[in-house]
Amino acid sequence: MLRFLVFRILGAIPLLFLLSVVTFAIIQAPPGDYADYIRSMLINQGGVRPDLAEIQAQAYREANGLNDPLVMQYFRWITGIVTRFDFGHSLYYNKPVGNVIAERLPPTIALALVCHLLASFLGIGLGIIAATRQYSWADTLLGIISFLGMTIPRFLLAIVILYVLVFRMGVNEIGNFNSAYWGGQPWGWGRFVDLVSHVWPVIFIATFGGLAYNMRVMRANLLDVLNSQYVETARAKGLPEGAVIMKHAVPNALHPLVAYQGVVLPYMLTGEIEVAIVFGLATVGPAIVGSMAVGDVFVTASFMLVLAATLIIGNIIADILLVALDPRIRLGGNKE
Amino acid sequence: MLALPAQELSGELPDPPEFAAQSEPIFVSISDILEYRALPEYHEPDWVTSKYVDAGTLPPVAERLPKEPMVYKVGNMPDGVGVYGDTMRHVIGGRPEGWNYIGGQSQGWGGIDIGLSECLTRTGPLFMVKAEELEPMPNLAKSWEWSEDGKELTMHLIEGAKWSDGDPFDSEDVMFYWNDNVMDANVSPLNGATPESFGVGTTLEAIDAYTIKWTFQEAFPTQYLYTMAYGTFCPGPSHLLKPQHPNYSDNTYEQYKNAFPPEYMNMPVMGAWVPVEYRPDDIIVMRRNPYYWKVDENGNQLPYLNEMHYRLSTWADRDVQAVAGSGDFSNLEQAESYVESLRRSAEDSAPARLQFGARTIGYALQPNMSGNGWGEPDARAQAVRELNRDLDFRKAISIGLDRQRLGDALVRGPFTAIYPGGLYAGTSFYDKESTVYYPYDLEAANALLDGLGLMDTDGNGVRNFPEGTAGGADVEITLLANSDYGTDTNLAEGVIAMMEPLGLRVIANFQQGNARDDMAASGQFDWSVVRQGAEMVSIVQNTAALAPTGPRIHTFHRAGSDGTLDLLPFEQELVDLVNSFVTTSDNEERAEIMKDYQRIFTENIYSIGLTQYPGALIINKRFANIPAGAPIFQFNWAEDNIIRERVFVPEDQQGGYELHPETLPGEPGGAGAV
Repeated sequence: MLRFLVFRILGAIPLLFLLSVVTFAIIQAPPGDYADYIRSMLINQGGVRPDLAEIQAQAYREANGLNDPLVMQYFRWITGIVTRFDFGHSLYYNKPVGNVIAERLPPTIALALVCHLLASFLGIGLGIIAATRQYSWADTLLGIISFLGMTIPRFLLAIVILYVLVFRMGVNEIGNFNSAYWGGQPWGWGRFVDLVSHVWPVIFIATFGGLAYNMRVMRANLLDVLNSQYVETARAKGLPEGAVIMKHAVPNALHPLVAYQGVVLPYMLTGEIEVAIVFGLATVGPAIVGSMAVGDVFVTASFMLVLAATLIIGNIIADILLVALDPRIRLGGNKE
Repeated sequence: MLALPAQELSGELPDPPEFAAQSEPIFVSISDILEYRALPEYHEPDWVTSKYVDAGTLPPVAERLPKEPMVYKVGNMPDGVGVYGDTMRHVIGGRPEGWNYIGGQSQGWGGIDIGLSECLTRTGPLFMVKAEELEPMPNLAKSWEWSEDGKELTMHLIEGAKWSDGDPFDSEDVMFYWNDNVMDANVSPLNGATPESFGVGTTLEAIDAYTIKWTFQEAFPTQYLYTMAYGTFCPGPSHLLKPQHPNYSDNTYEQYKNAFPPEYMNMPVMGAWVPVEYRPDDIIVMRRNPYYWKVDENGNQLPYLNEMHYRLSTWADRDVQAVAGSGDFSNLEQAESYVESLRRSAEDSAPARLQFGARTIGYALQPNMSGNGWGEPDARAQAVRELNRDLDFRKAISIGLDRQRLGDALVRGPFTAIYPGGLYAGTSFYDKESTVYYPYDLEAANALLDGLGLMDTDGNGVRNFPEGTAGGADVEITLLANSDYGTDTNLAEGVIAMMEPLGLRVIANFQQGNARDDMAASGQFDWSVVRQGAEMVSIVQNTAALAPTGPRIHTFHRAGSDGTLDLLPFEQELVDLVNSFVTTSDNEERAEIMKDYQRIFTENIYSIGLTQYPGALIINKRFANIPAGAPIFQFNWAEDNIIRERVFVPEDQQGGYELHPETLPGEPGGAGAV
């Protein structure tokens, strides 16, 4: 098992390296850099003459090494990460990229986890209801809900909800984790309630998508299990229907969903990210999109690398879970 | 095919449609807005007196004000003398780099630096100044006079004004800004002030603590008075900055620039509010400056508003929050959302109102006029540029565009107006009589293109270059546009569709902001759909950019690799007019020059105008003293135009938005408000 784990982790290193090269090349490919952003802001916001703005942009490029060849910029960045765990300097935030990530990753993961847990519990619960009432009106209704959840793009749903909240309902608690007042207060019940009143649309939308998937899988599996012989046997023994379902059928129908947990990390992150972009919450999503738009390359590249790492970690966890569940995989590993 | 004479193509320019939601400024003289004089008594919020002055931690208000403070006249205040209290809540998409504005740090834009930094002169409220009396408003420089030969300008600074920490403001601050920041090539103040901004060879010296003297190489270069406003002559607190500057310390220039990061609180300012709280990615809070040097006619020290908020969100969120009522202020610029925003704001329960100004947002199709290799064009692109340089070709494009339909496609209703190019109707120097307009005429457009020898030789519906030009290939033209904004791409798509009946294949090159700017600045475009810059709105600012007056100044005609411009005769005329405009101080003469400029510009269709429409100021209904017709951008942004220091909220409408009620900024570098 340990050998398997070590090999998986060692195998991830060249993959990460390759990913870092590719992401860096891709984000540097389009024309324009952060100095162009500076020039645009000077012209558009400060009313500066184009030639004077260009001089300032050029000075910025010179001072920050943006004129250096791409390869040199890449190696400077990657060397910093490997040797000092330094992800570079964010040009836009004017602080280390590590700090930008450290500020935004925890709320991102927290939000994603909440959405994931809600999507799991609600999805499984509704899946059970749908399966046990197959072809009833409840099953049809839940079918429609899951269909909508799986087909409506999350960003679209976010825009629709934003529109309804702002233009139709006059709700204005959006766009930040806390209102200006509560954001400066110590954590407590009041701030928590304020937090919930701000983040519920994000949680709702991100949960909705995941919930639909879980519901469909749970319903299908449970229907399979409910038709199997041991369930019939349990019924024949005279167990009440509730006990049959909850004790015998449900645990066995859960297997695919449990195995799925390993790779769900990136999925739930992207869900949260998409929605947070629309609502402008200070999480990873808006930072990635924002940094791409202004040419803050080290932030974009570092976030991509971090997300790639979560994908790889998720896969490793999935593999470990599978190894734990299925001895045949472990045996296969030992043969090598 | 004979060329069509211009008079057969030109026609009557329709007037912009009437528009009820638009408000017109009340035009006044600068002396109607403000003056500098001592008043018999001064007042301030009661809590400042009781908590600070009575406790001995702050001198009485009369001692904190200059000998002769700036006095705003009641006659020009739309709702009269205000009351103290409340907060203006802004939402912005920028992030602060730090507070060292003159060292080159951005404060996050969105009106923050406009509120923190006061400059020698001021331009924002000029939208309400009569055109014939147009000149920058006094500010830190309360008056000035020219020498007889017009080469020396003596300026008198306001006497006895203080920074927000109580340190006196004087010529030392001005000279530190000039000598150690503008003249020091290692420092780039935020908005790019360089020695050239004030004319090559210009010098500045301090005569005494409150008098400075400029010496110019030219006579009466009055345009530099505009340059002395935001954002190129707004001095910083030398008592704090000087010890950090490399000329006076062991610091590097990088350390100097970053000496006052966003976490540094209570940075001394001359502006009305001082930063007292910063939460990354959340908010910047500013409290009233107890040493602010402006008052109303009753002697009430300004500002009326105690607090300013800047939520650190996204630029798109700014409009949403302003309409929703959780933000107080935004500039609505995307015509596509006007109808819905107006509908919402017309409801009784709507928290914000929309105020439309003049139609000063204008889009043009700019053809790349450089035939000199700027941007290294290939054979096809070079052939397009040769066409761009041909008046008949520009005419064909112009009359091939149905501008009415273009505008209506953005937004139905009276918002958009036909824009023939050149100066905007509604700006100070616009003259309809001097504007040449070529109306929509598809047949004539096709005839013009035939006359240029552009025939569809291969029968595929697209005209071909003549034999020997670009291999006789189809005429394919790339159109650069900014994909960050729907308006830009919508107009570009309209242009592309309208070129099809002319047999011109226009290919969309839609790029995100940075990539677009990079391609435009390096000349890699055939055509570009552009929302035009500040110089087209104010004329008196960045005037040099109105024509290719230098190798890298103009947006669509720049020098090639040999550093020279290949100006067409009419372009040379425009350059000469612009050059004479900047050295003329007589306003009547300037108006005449601009009439010529407009005639030559529009006659030659220098850029192909598309549409012009007004921006809307979204402002929460509780605010009073918002001047009528305040544009979102003319000489400066709306944040400056509305004169925020005299904006107030009537007592019965004040909300509990203050985060640090009854506090003032503490020591520089301290923990925040105390």
